[in-house]
Amino acid sequence: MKFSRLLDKDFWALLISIIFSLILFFNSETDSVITVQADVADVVNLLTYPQTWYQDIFLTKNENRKLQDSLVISNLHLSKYKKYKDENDELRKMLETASFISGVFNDTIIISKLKEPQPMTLVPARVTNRNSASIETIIINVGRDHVTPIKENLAVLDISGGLLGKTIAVGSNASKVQLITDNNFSVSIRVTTLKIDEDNNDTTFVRTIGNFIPTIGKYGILEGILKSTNLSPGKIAYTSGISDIYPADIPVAKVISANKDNNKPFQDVKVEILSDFNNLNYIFIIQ
Amino acid sequence: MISISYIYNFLFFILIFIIQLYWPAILIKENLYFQLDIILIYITVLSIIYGRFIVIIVAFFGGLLQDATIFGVLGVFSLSKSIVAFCVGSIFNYRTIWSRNTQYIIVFASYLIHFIVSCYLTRGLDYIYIPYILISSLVPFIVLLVVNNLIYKGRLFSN
Repeated sequence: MKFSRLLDKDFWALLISIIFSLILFFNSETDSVITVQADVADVVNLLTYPQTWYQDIFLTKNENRKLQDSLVISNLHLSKYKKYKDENDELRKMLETASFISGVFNDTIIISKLKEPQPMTLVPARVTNRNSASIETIIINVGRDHVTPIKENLAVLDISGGLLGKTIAVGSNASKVQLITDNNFSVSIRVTTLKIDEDNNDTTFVRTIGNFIPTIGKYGILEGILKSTNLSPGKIAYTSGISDIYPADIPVAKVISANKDNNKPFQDVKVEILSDFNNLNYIFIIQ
Repeated sequence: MISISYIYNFLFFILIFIIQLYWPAILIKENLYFQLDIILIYITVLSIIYGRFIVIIVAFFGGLLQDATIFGVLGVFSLSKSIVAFCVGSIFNYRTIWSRNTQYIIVFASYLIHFIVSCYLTRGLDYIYIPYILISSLVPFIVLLVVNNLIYKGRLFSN
């Protein structure tokens, strides 16, 4: 049977009558029509499922691409926020240290009254570069043209308040700081120990003056500490205040060990520098 | 000019329709009645005698009339009866090719299609309607065979 024979007038008559019948049927609002309509919808859904599936895949792909983009952007924002948080923490720590150090220095000045009262100013600065040449230095972003002009030979502290070094060269907008770890660095320190007089059962504080010299990395030694001084590990060595560069009471290093069994008049004291050299982003200059 | 046989057939169709209107319905189940579809038998006879085209039109309007007066939802019997007219009208086209049994199968299959379609469109598809569809198809088929033997002397289905 040829296909053209199917499309004769009988076929058209049937087709037209079916179309009219269906139009009439679907125009009535009975429960049976609604049921049939639901079935038709199911069949249409089944027939169009491949198309829907195909479109879904495309949509998912597009959505995935958009999500990937937004994920990258979110990650960038996140890392930015993390950086801000770290910076914020560091600055907060700086503020706390600054207020603490200012208090200590003011007290010291009031108690001592030995010298003329000196107004102390903590100048915050950012470390811009770090040299690893023959002498260990860092570059900071303040100099002569700063609101508080920087000079040479000013004490530099880290954000925890530990001694970091001193300014050795000052430019208009930047300065070079010699670190405490540099082999040519030396600073006068004092260590306060408790001495118990067994006869009188009396306790007195003994202040011993010495000299801090760096050795390797964050370690150093204290020279000139008398053998009569009882140093225990953990004792903090502070700047003595004898020098014109460093004010008194700046924490310098922590005692690791003290050895009196030698042929020298002084004991061998090994110390660890308190400043954290791994996170040198901000510093203070004592003006 | 309209043929006298058309007028005769039209009047006979009116008579058949009136008989169909008053033909008693038998309750099979709750809300499920069986009524002998005399119009279906008449359309079958017309299809075998006159062929597809004219009977599809008659079946459409006859079914539509049946929908409007008996059933109430338009488009159900007009659709199913048009399909029956098309299928059974094939016997007119292929009378010389198809055997008597093939013609019987065509008629019975058309009746089954008729009642499956009408049942689906009115009540939906369910297994419980299978006996109803079978009875509704079988009874008119038997009546058609009786009509063929008594009135047409077996000439409706012949090679």
